[in-house]
Amino acid sequence: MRPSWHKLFSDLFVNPVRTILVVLSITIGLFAVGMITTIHLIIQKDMAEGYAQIVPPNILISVTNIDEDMVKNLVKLDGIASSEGARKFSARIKNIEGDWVKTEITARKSFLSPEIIQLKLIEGSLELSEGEILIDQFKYENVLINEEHHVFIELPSGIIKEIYLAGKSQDQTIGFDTGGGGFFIAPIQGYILMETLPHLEQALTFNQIYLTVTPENGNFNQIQKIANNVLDFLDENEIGVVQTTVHESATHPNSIYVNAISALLLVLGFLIVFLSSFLIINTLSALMQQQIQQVGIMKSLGATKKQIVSLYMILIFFYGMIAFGVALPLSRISAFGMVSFVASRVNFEFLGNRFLLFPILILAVIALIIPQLAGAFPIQHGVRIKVTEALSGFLGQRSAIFGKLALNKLRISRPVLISIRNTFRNRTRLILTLITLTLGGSIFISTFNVQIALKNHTSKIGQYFLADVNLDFNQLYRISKVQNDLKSVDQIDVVEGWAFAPSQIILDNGQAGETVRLVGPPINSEMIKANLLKGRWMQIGDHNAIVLNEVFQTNFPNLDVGDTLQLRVNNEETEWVIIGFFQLAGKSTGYIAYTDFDSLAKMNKSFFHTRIFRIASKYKNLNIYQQKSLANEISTVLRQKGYHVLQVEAGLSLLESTTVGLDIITIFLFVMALLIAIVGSIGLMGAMSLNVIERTRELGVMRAIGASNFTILRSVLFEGLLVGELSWFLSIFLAIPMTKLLCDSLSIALFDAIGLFAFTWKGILIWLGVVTFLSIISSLLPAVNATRLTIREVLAYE
Amino acid sequence: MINTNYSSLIMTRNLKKTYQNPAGEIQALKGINLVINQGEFVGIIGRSGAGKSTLINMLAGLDSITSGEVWVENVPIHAKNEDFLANWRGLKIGLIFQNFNLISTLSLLDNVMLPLDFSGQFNAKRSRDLAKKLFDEVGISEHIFKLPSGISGGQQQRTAIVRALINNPAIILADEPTGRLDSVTSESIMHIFEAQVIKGKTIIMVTHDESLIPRFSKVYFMEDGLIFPKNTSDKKLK
Ligand SMILES: Nc1ncnc2c1ncn2[C@@H]1O[C@H](COP(=O)(O)OP(=O)(O)OP(=O)(O)O)[C@@H](O)[C@H]1O
Ligand SMILES: [Mg+2]
Repeated sequence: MRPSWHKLFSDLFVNPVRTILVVLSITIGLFAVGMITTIHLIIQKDMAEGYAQIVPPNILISVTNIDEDMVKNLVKLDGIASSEGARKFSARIKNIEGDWVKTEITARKSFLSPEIIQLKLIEGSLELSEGEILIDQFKYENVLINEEHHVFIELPSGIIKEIYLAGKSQDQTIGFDTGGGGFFIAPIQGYILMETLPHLEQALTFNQIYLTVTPENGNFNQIQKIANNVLDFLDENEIGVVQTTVHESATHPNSIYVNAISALLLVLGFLIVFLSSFLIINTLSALMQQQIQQVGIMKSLGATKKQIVSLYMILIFFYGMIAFGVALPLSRISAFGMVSFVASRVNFEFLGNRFLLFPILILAVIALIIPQLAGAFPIQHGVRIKVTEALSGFLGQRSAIFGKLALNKLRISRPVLISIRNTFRNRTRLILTLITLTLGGSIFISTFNVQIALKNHTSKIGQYFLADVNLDFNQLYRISKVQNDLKSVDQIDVVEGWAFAPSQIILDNGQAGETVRLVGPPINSEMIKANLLKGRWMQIGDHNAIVLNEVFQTNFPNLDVGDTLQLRVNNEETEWVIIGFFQLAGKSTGYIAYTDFDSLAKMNKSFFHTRIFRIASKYKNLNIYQQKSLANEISTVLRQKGYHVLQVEAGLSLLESTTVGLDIITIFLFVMALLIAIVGSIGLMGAMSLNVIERTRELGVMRAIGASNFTILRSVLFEGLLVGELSWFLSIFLAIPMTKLLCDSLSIALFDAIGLFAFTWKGILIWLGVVTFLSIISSLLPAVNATRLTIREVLAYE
Repeated sequence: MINTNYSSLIMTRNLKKTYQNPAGEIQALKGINLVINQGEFVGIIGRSGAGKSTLINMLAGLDSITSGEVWVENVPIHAKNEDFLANWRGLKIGLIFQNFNLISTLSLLDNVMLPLDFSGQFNAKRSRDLAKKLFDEVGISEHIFKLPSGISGGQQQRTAIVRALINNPAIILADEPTGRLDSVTSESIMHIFEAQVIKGKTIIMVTHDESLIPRFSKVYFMEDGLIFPKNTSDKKLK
């Protein structure tokens, strides 16, 4: 082998710590970029493709009643590809805690490769028999299953049935008709055959229509148009429509969360490429600094600039290749892991490990180009130095930022003085190290801020769910009777009857459009504190006044306070006056409108009666367990009095399930923060360790003239902390615009509007801890190492 | 400018070198006129700071010349760029330093063969044989696979000499090659040099050690950037 190649390999292997630091800093940058690009590439694609594969309906219509012939007839309508009828109803199921909780059961003709909505089998069999049930995977763990593999269903009449559990399945269409958040709030989902309906006291007719459109009619407006045709047809045939929902085949009900993650990834990805580049530049310039003397020797032996440059370029090429080899598989594994984590929580299907060319290409390009670019400057610099200077090894002697005078007067001990001088001695390098650390720190701090912003947002949503207990009955009860009967529960402060009704927006052309959930609390309800964007909340004396959520503002920007909104409620066209807009959880919640109980009860023709109650305790700020025990007490009292209770639920559990989607983004951000902390940490460790390694000789000289190991360690430590804390301080400021950037892209993805922002000391303090710890470790380790060498060894060290 | 003296190997004309220091300018060479012929063993002696190293650096093309001319084998060193000089140095000049300047991560053998690689004369088998022969001549052939940190100073300097000889240069420039060595070891290095002079090499050696004066065929004294020839009673090597 040629001696210059020998030199190359000896540079790789003779100083393994240094090689590892350099390779690690390139690897970690590549890893982060690879992971982010891979996730970004597959997460939206898998969600859309996996969803399309199950043949989701494009139109879902809830009706009061429809028979099979009529459902079949719908296929004859223009643009309809297939149709299926199903029956969906609520009952109660026993959970592992022994409580009865709400369940929604869907009955269909068959689950074996139906034309629409194919369930994915996870366990057991899709081939159901009469009297068997499938349970969806999402809340499967909550269901009580006995030794005979039976589950317990309580029917509206109060009769309890034991049903054989045939399997666990996944239904990606959960939440289809309730918006993105609907999936998380949805109760346990069961699936049975039509034949089983009579066993569960249900009529053998359909109340759900699933429709797909022909491929050429796949976009939203076309589907909407076809849906309107269908609605007209149903109207002509006097079939009462409760709710209509329209989606494109590739739009998963929870796509908003994945879009939000993707938006964050894009910004983070960009920042991380930037950070990684600095990390690489920093490490390589430190490396070159150590090579200057060797460059001098080689030049004196007749090496031309070109020869030396290519020698180091090849060395860097090797570093890049090793890093590429390590980072590529690692980033793949982590990205796939991350996507499958999100998939299982957001109800889409991760389509599995696969070959992806783009991340390989981008990593290869980055592995080849960034280190070479990063190395180019220090190499050129090293090569340009005069041979005589390079040989003498005295370099970078710029006038220190702190002049002798000022510091000497401060009576700082000389070793500390040396540390300070050292820190500022090599200004380029200091600046590079600071940029790397500051970038890493500020991204880390920003991800924490975004998490807090999301959390603040979540707790704002809590203001809409102030009740301690939510009570649902199977049938209407007189409100005053329920209030009276609950007087025996001491802890109760207020019992309110709320009205709910689905409705549809009536578009300008007179046709019914998207579904709006109408919520009717008592006009002076104490259990909701809305966050108003515009206008006002309801007041006593209002009639048919309506407050709309932000989704209306986004999709109907012309709507304003004082306008009239036409809604179809219970098949009747009604008019409402808009008095305000409020903010809820963003796009994912779908259209929600609040009005007062009486106005809505009038539409429902159920004056003084309702099925849904909200109860508040006398005690403030109950935790979820206290709420649950109150719920149990209420349930017992009501059952004794012969009420048909569907569900009694702690208030906080409703809030929790509403915000699960946001929590996933939070978890995701946390993982990213961790990743960045690692990138930043390795950057810090690399830079500092190289700084100290570089000074091994100088430390030896200090020892030779009588410095104790303690003095040396102290001065190195001081230097490391000085740089670390300085970068920490700077990153606080850089985190402000960065948080804004991340928050904006997140809130645009979630709410179509800028709104989120928070700044918290938490991330700043954690980063302070991380930086301090790392500064200590990464400066002490090599320094301890240096003090372990004998002075003779050190002085021979280059 | 035409060099008329074809027999002289190295020639300088009014060579000056000024360093820029934060403290001001330092005139390290104040007009050096030197003629050295092939086969001479030249000693340059002078006090610390006299400019000896500066002169060697100028002759080797290691640093820029402020003014004047340096001709080596009719090549105008003062007019050539760095890359040309690097190539030229690889082929024509063997450099030896007081602090050896071996590459610490390479074995002695690799250290020695490195210049061949740069000059493009590397041939695995032939280079290895050549290196071994030279190691043999300086008497350290048993150490050639060791790293520089594993051998003594004298052995390191002998390695550096082998490295300087590997390209078979016409001229060897040695800046205090014995400065860090004891007298016995120094003596062995001088023997090696003398053997090379006999083979026809030209050696210019800087030293503090006046006791070495009788060993040179020609001696110059340097003081304060100027050079003075000393009559060495025309002692010729046998
Ligand atoms: N890179 C430099 N920058 C500034 N001044 C320099 C530089 N190199 C040498 N000098 C100055 O030039 C003068 C000659 O230095 P030189 O190294 O040639 O002396 P020397 O004769 O080799 O001394 P020594 O015997 O100590 O090696 C000295 O005054 C020195 O301080
Ligand atoms: Mg000198």
